[in-house]
Amino acid sequence: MMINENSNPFRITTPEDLTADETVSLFVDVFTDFSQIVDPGHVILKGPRGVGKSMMFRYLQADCQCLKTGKSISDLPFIAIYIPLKNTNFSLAELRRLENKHASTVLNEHLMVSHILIRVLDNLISSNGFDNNAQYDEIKAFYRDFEDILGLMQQESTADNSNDYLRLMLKQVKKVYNETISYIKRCSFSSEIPPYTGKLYDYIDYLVPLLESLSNTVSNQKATFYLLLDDAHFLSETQTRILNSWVATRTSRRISLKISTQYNYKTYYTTNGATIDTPHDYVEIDIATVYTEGQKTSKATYYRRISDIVRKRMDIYGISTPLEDFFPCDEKQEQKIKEIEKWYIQQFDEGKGHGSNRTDDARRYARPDFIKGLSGKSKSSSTYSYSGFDQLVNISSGVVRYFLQQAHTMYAKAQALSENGTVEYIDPSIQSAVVREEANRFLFNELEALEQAGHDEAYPKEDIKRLSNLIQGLGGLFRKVLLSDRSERRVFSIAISDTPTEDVLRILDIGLQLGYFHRSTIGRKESGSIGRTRLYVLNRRLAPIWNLDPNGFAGYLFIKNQVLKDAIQQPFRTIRETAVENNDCIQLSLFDMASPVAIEGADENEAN
Amino acid sequence: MAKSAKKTIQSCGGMVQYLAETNNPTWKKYHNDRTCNEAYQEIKKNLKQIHETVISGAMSDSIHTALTSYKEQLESISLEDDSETRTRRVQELFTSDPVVFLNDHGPDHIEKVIERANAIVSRFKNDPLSEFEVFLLLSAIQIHDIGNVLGRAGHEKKLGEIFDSNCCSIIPDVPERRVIKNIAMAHGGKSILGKDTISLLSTSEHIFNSLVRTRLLAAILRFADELADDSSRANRAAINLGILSTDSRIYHDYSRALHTVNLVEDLMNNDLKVSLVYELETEALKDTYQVGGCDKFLLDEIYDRTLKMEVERRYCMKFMHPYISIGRIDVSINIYGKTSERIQTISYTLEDVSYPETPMAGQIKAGWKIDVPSGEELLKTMIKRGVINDDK
Repeated sequence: MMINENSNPFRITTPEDLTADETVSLFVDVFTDFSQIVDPGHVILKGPRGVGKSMMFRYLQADCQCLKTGKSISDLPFIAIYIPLKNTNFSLAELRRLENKHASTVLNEHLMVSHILIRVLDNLISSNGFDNNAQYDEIKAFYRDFEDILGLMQQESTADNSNDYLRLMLKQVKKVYNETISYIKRCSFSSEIPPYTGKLYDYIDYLVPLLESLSNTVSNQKATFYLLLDDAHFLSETQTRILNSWVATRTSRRISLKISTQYNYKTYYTTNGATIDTPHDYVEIDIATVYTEGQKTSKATYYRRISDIVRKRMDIYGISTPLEDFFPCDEKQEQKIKEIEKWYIQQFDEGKGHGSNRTDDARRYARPDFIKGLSGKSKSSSTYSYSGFDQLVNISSGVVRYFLQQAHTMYAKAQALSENGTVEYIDPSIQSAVVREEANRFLFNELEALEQAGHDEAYPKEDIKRLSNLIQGLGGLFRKVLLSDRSERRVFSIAISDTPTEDVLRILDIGLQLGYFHRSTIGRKESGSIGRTRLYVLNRRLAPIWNLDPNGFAGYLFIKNQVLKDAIQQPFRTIRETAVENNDCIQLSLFDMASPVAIEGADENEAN
Repeated sequence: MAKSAKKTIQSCGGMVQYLAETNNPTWKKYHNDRTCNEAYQEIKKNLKQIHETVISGAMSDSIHTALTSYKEQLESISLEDDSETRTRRVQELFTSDPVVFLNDHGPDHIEKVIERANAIVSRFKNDPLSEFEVFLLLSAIQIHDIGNVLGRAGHEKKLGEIFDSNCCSIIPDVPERRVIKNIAMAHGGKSILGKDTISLLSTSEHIFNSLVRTRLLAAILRFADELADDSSRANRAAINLGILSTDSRIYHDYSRALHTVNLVEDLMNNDLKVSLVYELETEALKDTYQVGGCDKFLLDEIYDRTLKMEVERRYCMKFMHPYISIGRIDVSINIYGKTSERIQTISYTLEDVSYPETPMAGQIKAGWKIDVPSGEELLKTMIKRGVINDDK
């Protein structure tokens, strides 16, 4: 049967392409988790792909805010303008060639300011806020200001309505922008640098007064302009320095810069060699940390958010089935695990337990024991079922898009198998198969693609290979621990017990940037120490590759830098040669044993 | 044949001569067929008339501004019901002299700034200015005060348009003109960082493949301008004729009293120092001047101005220190009697010798006004967010 893509409730659309209606109906208010995004002030919003940064930005835009609040644009407390930084002319190779040659900083700043102006005008036109000639006289007056501030030729042309005035301005700025681009391209065709005779705009003398004047014109509230700069990691180092210089100017009452970026934000230096500091200049929010930090509240918050998002989408499509029933778990498997849990409770009641209460051991060991059982003689551990709403949420590792992406494929598969195209629930076998496919794709296909990437900013091939080795090595070790008799068998993260070397940190850092790890912190191993050390948490999307248990809290291992070095070179040998004993101890020459307090304590050793 | 020694600013006798002697033809393609020297000479020529008009321009603007203000205030006064109030307000209106009679801001002042800048750059320990940097610095010196022609207020920012309209055919490249303007504008006034105008500039940038140390050039100009305020700047004829406005007189008398300004080696400290010598007659001790609505003696004005110069020295040294070290300012004020005998000398040294007390420990917020939470504030926030339990 024909499958209509639009009939899939988990369809992922670029937020940019969503209408205001669609955005408002799909958006789940997460701003209670990140209130600084809505408040005036500069913000750097960090997170891996797919955590919902762009969706937040889309929702803040004027058209959505008007729809949501029922106010006109002139009554909004802020006017948010979405400014994508991906796929812009900023990444032109010609522009990079100007570095250390001619006026790279001022030309880059000019392009950035012009691009922002284009987006501001474009947004105002498409927001429909000035339909029916709203504020005609004010916009007309602003047009004169606009030409004055930007030093443009005074045009005699008049427009019949507000939007036409905005279009006239847009046309003028686009012309300036295109002239600069053609100059930059001309530079690369010539061995000599031709003089640049066009306009040259900057933030302080042009953008700030212009947006101030615009705010006075279109807003009864003297609204702050929120410039939502999406994907700032695509900016070059020079461009990032320019952006940081803007952040350092403390103009946030008039213009608040809301910058989203993945973890590879190029620099925190400004063009004049200073650094920007938080919270002095800006507020930094790491979404992944907010949703995955060791605290139970973070996980609960993420669970609630994703439940709301999935529920909204299903409701729009008329699916009222409870989430747990729509994504059911494998009943047989759960039954067997429950039986093991009962056994552990019984053991506790007989005084043979280890945990501090009667469900501790059951919670901690039942599922790992089940998985261990599957890997026995029959070697059938790949029959472990990654299904059930809770388990899928855990696997998505704090990233909404991971969940939706997998749910989308599951739904499409279920729909293809359905006789009438309706999907009442997703069979656990479909869920598990998709989760396993996605894990393989994530580790193998995506890394392979990165190895072959040939662009300027691609990671070195050798480093990608090293990262792949490190992940394989750690995954294999975690599997070995799961199958051992250690008191804590569910392990997903590591902390380095001695001093990490630069080569190891570099590979871990690439892993962080690409989303294979996320970072958290834990208390230091030394007892009585109040400092913290970094924890590298393996992305749970990878759990199926080694048949790991992605649920609940997991322990961590203190690990020596040398072991990581070995794993980076020879992962399988490292797994093979690392002995895991029956007495909670991993061979000390390779691993430090997690401190007894950390291992045995209820939550202290439970990270991520 | 012996290889000729490499030309330096010092060996050529100054930056202008250095430009004339290097005269590198490479720069012709960027300046409409002019070398840096030719381009500089043409900029100077084009701006000459404006330089000569600066004082009258500023005066004309001050009169115009005052008339506008009088008109507005008289309209407001006419609405007063009470005749006594009207009379009092009219009297208040005319208590100060609104006419600005600037001390020299013309070609002679420009030459003096160049002379002071020469004294600074010729003593660089390393990395001397390139030909192109010299050109940019000299051009910036030429334009740094031309904004005054449109009025004193914000003159640093008004220079852009005048420069563009007079020099765009000599320097067609907009980024190059921007660099010159930025260097010139940083010599005074305020930026969004307050009086710290130089920090807003890029540390360095490349223009036509040549490295330009923007902040360094701006600091040289700013300090050279500060040192250029000597007796040559006073309008002696106007002082003698008594035609200076009461508010402007102190500036001319101050300049007239500053006899010599030298940058000299300080062998004891292995660096350089500024030496200032003021010469006053006892009669000058009697006069008072109206400054900010209060009477002020010239001697007090000298103290204040030397302190300001020390602030400028410390500020500019932040940007010049890798290349030159000017450690202090020595001040001598010689007071002469009617028969030219020296009656008294007051001398003092201004330098940074104290322990840096600011910010004091525990005073980071008060001392630096940095937006960081105090220990107590952060604890309260964490308790409110539920991250920390309130044990109390």
